[in-house]
Amino acid sequence: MRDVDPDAWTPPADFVSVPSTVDGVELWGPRPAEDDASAWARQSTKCPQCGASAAFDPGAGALTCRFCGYVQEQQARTVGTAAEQNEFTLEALRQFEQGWGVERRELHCSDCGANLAVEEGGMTATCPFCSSNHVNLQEASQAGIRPKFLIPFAVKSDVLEKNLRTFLGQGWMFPSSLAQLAKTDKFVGIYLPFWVFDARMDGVWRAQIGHPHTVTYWENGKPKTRTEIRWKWESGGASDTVNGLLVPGTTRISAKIAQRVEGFELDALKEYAPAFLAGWRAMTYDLALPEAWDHGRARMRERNRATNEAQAQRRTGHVRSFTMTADFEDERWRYVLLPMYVSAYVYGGKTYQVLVNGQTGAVAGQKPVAWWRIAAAIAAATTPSIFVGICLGVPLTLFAGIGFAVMIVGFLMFLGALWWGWGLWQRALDAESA
Amino acid sequence: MTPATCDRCGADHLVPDGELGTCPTCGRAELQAAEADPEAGQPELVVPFVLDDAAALKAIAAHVREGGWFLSGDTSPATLRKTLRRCWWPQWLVDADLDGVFSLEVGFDYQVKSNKERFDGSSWQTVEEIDTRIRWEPRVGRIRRRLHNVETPALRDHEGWAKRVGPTERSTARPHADADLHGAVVRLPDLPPASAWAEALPALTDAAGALARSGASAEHKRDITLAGRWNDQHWTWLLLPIWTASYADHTGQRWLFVVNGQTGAVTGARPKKVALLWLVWGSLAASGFAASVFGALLTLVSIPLLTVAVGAVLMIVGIFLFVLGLLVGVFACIPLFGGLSWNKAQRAIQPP
Ligand SMILES: [Zn+2]
Ligand SMILES: [Zn+2]
Repeated sequence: MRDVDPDAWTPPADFVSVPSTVDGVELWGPRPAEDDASAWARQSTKCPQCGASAAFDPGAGALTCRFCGYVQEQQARTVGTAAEQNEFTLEALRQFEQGWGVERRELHCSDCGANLAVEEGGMTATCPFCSSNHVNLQEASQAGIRPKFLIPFAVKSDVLEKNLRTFLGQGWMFPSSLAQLAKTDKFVGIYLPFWVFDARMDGVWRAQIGHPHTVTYWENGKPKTRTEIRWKWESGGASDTVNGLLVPGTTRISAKIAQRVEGFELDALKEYAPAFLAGWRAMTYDLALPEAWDHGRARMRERNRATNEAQAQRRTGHVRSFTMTADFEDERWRYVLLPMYVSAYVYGGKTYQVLVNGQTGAVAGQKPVAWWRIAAAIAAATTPSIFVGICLGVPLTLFAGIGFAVMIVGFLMFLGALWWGWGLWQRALDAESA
Repeated sequence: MTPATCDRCGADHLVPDGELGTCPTCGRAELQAAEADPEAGQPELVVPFVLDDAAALKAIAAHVREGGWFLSGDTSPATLRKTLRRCWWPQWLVDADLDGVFSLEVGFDYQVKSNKERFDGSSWQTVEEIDTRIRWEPRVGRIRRRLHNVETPALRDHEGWAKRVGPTERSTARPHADADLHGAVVRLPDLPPASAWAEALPALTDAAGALARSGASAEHKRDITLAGRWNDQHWTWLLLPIWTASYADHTGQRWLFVVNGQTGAVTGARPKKVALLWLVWGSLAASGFAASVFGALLTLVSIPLLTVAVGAVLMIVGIFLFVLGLLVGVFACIPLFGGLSWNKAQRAIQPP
């Protein structure tokens, strides 16, 4: 036994006393992770130089004051994909089942003292009385559901406007007046809640695999061959690892549109700091972890099914009665805030949603379709076939069989045009839908 | 009581006045009167006997029966009774103050939900699974208290004899009375406190570690390290109840049986008679050899007679005897090798 001097010994600085059940034995354990909401949102976003409300500027990547030009660099650590992950503990899941964090709350403006009612799910507010951008989340959310990481806004308004104009101006099937709608002042930068999932799936499949065999048989005294498929039960397995699958934590935005712009680079994840939210909006989730994980798992298992089905297909190319199991391992989740510009515009009496990725500038959204253009395109596509089939084919029947051949060609052209038109119709519907 | 020592094994004893007799520690020499050791100290506690002399002899008889065939020497109760002695073997109980610090890891169980998904060809079904995992956390601690009655060896060969007769339950210990020592042999500690401290330290550290562990409330504990100072040690001499008896094998070599006077557990060597093992092997091997030679001859003789039915019968009998003889020869080695390795194991219990 080492000879230490017990009198000179003290417990490590970050340890606190914990109860002991034996007399004469004292115990210390690590200080529980600080869950002090005030520490989480304590930072003032007032300009230390002139006292005005400062806001986070995506161009500078810093808290800036637009009155005096003061710039405060953000010290928050970039943690990227090393950001802490959580397990699916029953404890955590139970908290969500109890509906944590979805009740209505009041915010307190510590600059002027006003109490503000915040819309459900809101985390940030600009005080209408003193217009301070004070970030005050401490009353707004509880420990278990506070996001610990975020990606700050990086897309400046000029880039936003350019990307938006490109997006709205793209494609011939939309009204040409659409590009003029590209107004960035209608866009609101919101830190949206996202669930980030990691998991491995160990898939095992079982299916009947068809093996072609050449069979010789006799017909009218002559040997002939044909190919027969013999089916055999076979099995196999393949694993997939999915990292950083994003599921929006809110149902207020279209999941379909979100998926098109959610190419976030999680390497840029930073530890949460209130200054990032200064002057911006933020939302808490309204789709809780268990439901979000159901969505995430559904997407993951489809990927594993594709991997396993492809493996079965590679055997001989003939597969039937395919079944499989996918066993989830190493499941982890994170709750993060990701930057998104959100806007809805009205065109022709209807509302259309557009999302812009606040990190990459990617744009996606609904666009109104100029349906007369679609109709014209389909008509234009089918006209030549009608011309060939009727105007050429019918008269040519007078000159024997060649006319029928032309009519058939015309009919096939018509079918092809219809097929293309159907695809166009679908794309147009897709562009309008959310 | 008279101090007495054994020149052969070196064990020191206190024997009833005028009763030197055979050494109850090795059973191989007569005890010699010795000078009293002024620093020997006094026994304080005894664990009383549960077995009387008859029960001890019965326990030895059962132990002898387990030895099987061909045992060497006279191990009958009547013979053993002549050397049967009631002994007290020593053990230390140490008290000490500890002022120390320690560190360990404590583990808490928690449960996680996992999923297994089944695809039946058209849709998915989800099966939920609950896994239990352990969350480990470091703890440091300080222990300041007196530890009482930590068992420590008082004999150098504690690991040997004392371990084979098993543990003695200490809860019945009480201060010794004169009647306890009357007619009994007291074996003196050959590890005095000064030398026994090195042995006591791991035991004390284990005891302190157990205390430190029990202080932390958690489902799992691991990796404990402890360091500190021990002060104010107090040694208590505890007497453990032991019966011993010895006997001579046919070569004159003496062997000792040791009986735990509380539990009846017995240890002691029971060598087999080696000459007898060889004799058995010799007679079996010889008859096997004879049978196989006779069988071989019979087979040879039968070859010209094969045209007659008798010839075939003779050949079958001949081959059968040949093979049987070989088998007997091979199997004759089994008791021989078994007996020799048994004797080797017995000599490890008490080296000659
Ligand atoms: Zn300023
Ligand atoms: Zn001796």
